[in-house]
Amino acid sequence: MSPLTIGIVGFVILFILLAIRLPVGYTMALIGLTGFMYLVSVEGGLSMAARICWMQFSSYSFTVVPLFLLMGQLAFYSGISKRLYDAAQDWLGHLRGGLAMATVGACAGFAAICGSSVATAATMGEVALPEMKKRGYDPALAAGSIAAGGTMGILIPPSGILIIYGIMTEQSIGKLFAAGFVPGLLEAVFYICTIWIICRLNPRLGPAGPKVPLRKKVVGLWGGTIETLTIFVLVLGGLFAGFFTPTEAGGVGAFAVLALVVLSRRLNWKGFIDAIYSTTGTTAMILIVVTGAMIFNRFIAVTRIPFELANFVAGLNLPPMAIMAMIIVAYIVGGCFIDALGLILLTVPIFFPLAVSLGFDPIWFGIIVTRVTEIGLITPPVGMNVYVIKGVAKDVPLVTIFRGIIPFLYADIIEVVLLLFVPQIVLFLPSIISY
Amino acid sequence: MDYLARIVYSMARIVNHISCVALVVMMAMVVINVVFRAFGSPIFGAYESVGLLFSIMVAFSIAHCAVKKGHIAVNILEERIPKRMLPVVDSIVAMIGTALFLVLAWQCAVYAKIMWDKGELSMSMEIPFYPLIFVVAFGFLMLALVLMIDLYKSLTRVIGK
Repeated sequence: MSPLTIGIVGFVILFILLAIRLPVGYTMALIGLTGFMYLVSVEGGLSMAARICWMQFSSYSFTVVPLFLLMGQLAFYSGISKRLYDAAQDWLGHLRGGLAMATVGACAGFAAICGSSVATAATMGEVALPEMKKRGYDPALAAGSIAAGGTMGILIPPSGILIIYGIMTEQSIGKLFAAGFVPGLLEAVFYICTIWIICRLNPRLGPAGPKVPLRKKVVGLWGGTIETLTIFVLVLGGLFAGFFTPTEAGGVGAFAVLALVVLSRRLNWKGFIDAIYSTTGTTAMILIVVTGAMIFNRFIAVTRIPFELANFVAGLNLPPMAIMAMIIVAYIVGGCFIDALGLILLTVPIFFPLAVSLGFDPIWFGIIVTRVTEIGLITPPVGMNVYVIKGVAKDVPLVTIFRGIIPFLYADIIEVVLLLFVPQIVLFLPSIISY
Repeated sequence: MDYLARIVYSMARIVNHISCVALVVMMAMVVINVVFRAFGSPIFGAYESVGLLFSIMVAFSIAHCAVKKGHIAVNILEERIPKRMLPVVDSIVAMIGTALFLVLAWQCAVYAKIMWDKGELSMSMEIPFYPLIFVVAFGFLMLALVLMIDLYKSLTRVIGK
């Protein structure tokens, strides 16, 4: 059998093992290791696997992962989300659907100190759902706005997914963060417009609340908003100015959030311990998937699949945009079944060389992939964010949450098309930063 | 077996504490280095130590993560697998996992021995790598043990039927 055939067989077995629920990292490591041993040599495969494990586990570039996770986790336990939401509610609560808009705004704010979509949805769910329920909001709209708003966690910097993408493709994490900023804000604007439209069509979905005096609005900004903004500017400003490495930005960010919540007495010892625990747990999970993917990639490189695929696609003589559209469809379909991290690690080694050979910008491609992966977080059957919301709102049926997502999917598709045809939205900011 | 399970789980918890401490030290080291560098005297070997602490942090947390079922899997067939088949499927999954991580633990130990013989040291602080590679091997071994207990648990459910 040719290496290419072995590669395809490898993929088939990979999907079978994934389907019987072998964890993603184990599966990729197993297929990568056995495939490499078959194609190259048994000793070569075994020593390759050991070397890769050590390389990933001791790599300075991956130390950025736990530090940014810790920053997000500390923010999660600190009550910053509640303060952000209160401020957004003051400004938007008197509009029809205003609480849902405030939810999206607060999600965007929280995403600026947290790199995880799931954490953003979880923390906002706990804060915003009870408020919207109290005001008689439609449960579908309430749940949908949090699930969709939460996805911004991985696009607005910092972002766990962009970190992993940057390390895998050897792109600057600073530039990727800068590139995610405008599309992330745009996403918030799109979601707010979506809510405005659906509440205009059916005012019963989100009844307007009382107006808040300007004085109170301004005073309200002083809490969560200023804190968030300060940390964001310190961490990402330092990174963009080239003063910090990404790891240092994460470390300083985690420390800044810690200092803030300890000084204002909003974090107790238990919250601190919980934050540390979930950070080490999540890092372990990510590193196992990443290590599995790296072993798998060695095997894929030997099978020459990326090379053959690029050749095949070049032979099709299609315009690059048509091929990009196919890649995006593949991500949307894949995102329905595999979680964001697994999807990125599994596909980027194959699609990244293809995209670059077609002349697409590597930073832009990272943002497109991340933006499309966000859609996978809210689509059935495995939309992670939907299950997170379900965990907070036990009385809302899953079907209702998925129904609430639909209007936001339209907004998602419009934004992806916009980013495809106007790449400057993505590339303008990274072009002016130094790191 | 229950006795063994208790020992493995509490060991996984204990090493996970070490992992947590490593994380806090990492953060502190990064921040102190940034501050010192601002005053013109960065800590010698800071980058390197953060990378090495990271290996301790990860190696000591993977087993506990498996105890808590934290390693992500794809759940599309969960509801389609017939109820009585579930323990069988779980046994296969746990068996594959155990075998995989036993092999990785063994290979990392072999690799550590090679690095020991070669006397490989880190670049600036000249810390030998091999003890940390042994730590990684140990982490994989712990993970394999946790999965072996999963295997035992699901096998008893298969036989119990």
